[in-house]
Amino acid sequence: MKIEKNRVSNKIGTHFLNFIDKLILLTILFLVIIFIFYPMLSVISKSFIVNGEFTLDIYKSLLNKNIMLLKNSLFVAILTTLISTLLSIAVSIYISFTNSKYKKILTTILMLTMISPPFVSSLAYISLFGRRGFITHNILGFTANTYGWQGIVAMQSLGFTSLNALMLIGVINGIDKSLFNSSLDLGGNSSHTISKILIPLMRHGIIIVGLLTFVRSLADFSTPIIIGGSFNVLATQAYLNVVAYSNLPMAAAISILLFIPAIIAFILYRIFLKDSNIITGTNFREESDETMLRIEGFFPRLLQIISYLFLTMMILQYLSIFISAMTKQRFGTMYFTFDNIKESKNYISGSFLRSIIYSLITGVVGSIIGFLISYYLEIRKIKGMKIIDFISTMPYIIPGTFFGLGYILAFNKYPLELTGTGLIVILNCIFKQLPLPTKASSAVISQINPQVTEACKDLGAHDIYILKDVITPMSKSAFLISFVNNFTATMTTIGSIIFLVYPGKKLATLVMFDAIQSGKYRIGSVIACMLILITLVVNIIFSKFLLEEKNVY
Amino acid sequence: MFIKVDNLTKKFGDLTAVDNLSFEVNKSELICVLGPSGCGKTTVLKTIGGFLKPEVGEIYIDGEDITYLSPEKRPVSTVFQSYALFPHMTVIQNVVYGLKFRGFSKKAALIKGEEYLDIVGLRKEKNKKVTQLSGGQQQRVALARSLIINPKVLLLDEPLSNLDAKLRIRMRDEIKAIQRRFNITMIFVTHDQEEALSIADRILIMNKGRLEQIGTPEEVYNNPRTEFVLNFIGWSNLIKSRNGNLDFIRPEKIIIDSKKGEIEGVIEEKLFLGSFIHYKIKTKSQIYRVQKNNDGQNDYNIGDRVYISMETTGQIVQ
Repeated sequence: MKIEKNRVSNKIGTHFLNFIDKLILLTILFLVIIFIFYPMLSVISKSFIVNGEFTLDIYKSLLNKNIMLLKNSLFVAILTTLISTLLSIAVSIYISFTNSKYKKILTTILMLTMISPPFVSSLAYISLFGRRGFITHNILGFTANTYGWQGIVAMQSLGFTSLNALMLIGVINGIDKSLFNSSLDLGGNSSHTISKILIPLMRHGIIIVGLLTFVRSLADFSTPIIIGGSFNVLATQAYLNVVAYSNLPMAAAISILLFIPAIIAFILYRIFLKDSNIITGTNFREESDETMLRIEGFFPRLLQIISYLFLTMMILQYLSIFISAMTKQRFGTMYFTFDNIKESKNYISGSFLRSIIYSLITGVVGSIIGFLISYYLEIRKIKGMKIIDFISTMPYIIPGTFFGLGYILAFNKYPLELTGTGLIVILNCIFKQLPLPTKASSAVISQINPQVTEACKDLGAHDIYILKDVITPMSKSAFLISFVNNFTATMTTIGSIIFLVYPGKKLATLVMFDAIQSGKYRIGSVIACMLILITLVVNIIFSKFLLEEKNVY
Repeated sequence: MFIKVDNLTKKFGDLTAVDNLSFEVNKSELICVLGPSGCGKTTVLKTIGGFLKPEVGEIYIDGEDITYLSPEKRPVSTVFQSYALFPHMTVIQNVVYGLKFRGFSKKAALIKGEEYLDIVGLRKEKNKKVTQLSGGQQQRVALARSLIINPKVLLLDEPLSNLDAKLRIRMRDEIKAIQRRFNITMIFVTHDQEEALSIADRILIMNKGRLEQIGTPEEVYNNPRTEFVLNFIGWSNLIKSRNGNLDFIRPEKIIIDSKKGEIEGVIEEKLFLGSFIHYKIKTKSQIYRVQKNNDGQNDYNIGDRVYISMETTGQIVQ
């Protein structure tokens, strides 16, 4: 008993600390279940239960009426998956093994697309190839109808390739470089080493990237709406069922149909890549292992040509948006002007400020929740935390509209009547993006030497003190990464919040979407440029912080 | 008895890491737990430190059963193999960290912290980040951080294994000096027999989770109780005696001469080790390991015909 007295701080009792600890843990459990699991459950039950009875009627009518849409969706998704996967393999290998000066430009472009709002590529497509497109109309001189599945496939493929390539670069970084060196050493040339050693080693990553592309393509409703013309897909139908026809059970059923491939992809992802950090791109491997593998020979050259084509398209894309924001057309000639920017003020009003505030809140709160989940998972190894981790990773894969619909269905009545508030949008963003901070924190926390936490305990610290004094300060880089990822994602998100935002409380991406839909492409371009600028500035500032942080340790 | 470990058993799945281990430690004694890697020595330390819960057995410190106390409530402190310093804190912040939970005011803690930094000779570096220190300095910070909370027992888990050979010997002496100064009871885990022989009051030798022998360095070297202990500590030549027991002769007890001796043999191998030379000499009955000081006289070469004379050093009763 004497020992007990000496070993515990006289200021705060152990019981109180235990209580705090339990409280935090329970809060997290509660939040994840209410704001991730419950909305998903709501969508599922909405599609099966009509007037309080279980029925498959909704699915029957869905399959009867929309078989064409299903075919269209699958057709686009398969083509997009093939093209985007091949493109991203080429780009990731080229970037990983080239010393060319274009490497920097390519990497910058990849990062830029990660922080760009969605449908930038669609917007660029319209301004280049649309009815009044710069290339089709001004250069080639005809008024074409380029709206249709070709445009959707092309834009989705380009749009998804950046993320895919970044994920595959992460996979390549995780491969032991000495394997390539020993292949070269044994007489295999670069071409052979890439096709026989590197690509087979990337196969799990390639499968995941392919599946993710397939899922994203199926779930994408904005590209088909903007450039699909009369070509319709299931995702668009789900969107229209909510905003135009108010047929929520049908929207729920379509979302679930689109969710099935997503959950398969998700489970495969958990099996194949449970230890890798390709979600966040956080990679802590020392880059000391050099390889002599170079872009030489026929096959690597082919990859290089594909990468250059991709690079050209991306440069064209950003250039066209910038030009379209800064010019106007009169009597067939283009001229430089700030008019678009002035004009866009009427559309923007408070939406940018609101976007920034929501993104800041999402960044801070999301980082804290993600950090706490990974703390209880990685350090405390609490039983059942694996299930919470599983649930909290799901939003990464489920279609945004599914998640948004879930929020409408789950939070429209007492005691959680949130529809129409700004809070529901913020909550939706926080939990939709929760996988990002959770993975980033886990990556950092799992690097902490377990003896450090043992030493802390040994010196008399309660778990709460270990969390406060050691784990939290040692996870600074995780907070920085999480914050900036969440900020960017919220600034550029659209899918999951499109149903939740009320007319008076629009966010910048939604204003942009509306502008494009009503044909005001130049206004859309101005908003796109502003969004890119804001996220770019925030990302640059935080990467500076992150570099300093890394230099300290 | 100050520390009493009773019938301790710890399993990891099917593997029994510590198997029914019992031993006692006197107050102010420095005990080395010695054994090959995987023998369970670190597991013993971790159960005493509270980081592992044993399946069976009790641990008493100063008469109190601490078997099921959590680490933060035990009157022991551990110096970890990796030092486990908090990388985001300065030297002094590291050292005074544990005082926070013992009711010290910030000011009083800092004064005491400087005092302990003086003891380990690091007062000048107190505001440095621990990541800026050398390995030996980090080791001293870890020591000061543990000593400052005035533990009844200090546990050291292979504390010198990350240091180079010269520094290791210096730190070994410093730890011994600190132990005498504070009169603190220490349990020191190592796989290095020379380290154990030089620092320990008593050595506890473990093999496959079991206790082989516990005794003073002289006892375990001169009178090993098992064949394992004999082979683990130093070299020896074994001779099966008539009653089935094992006689052994340490290599340094054998005298070589080029002209006269009891047994005739030929030098088969020669190992130059600096301060001494190790020979393998083949005789009619067996090969003997012989060690001779490098005194500059009578250097033998492979193939030389020599005579050896010896007396049995001891016997292991089977």
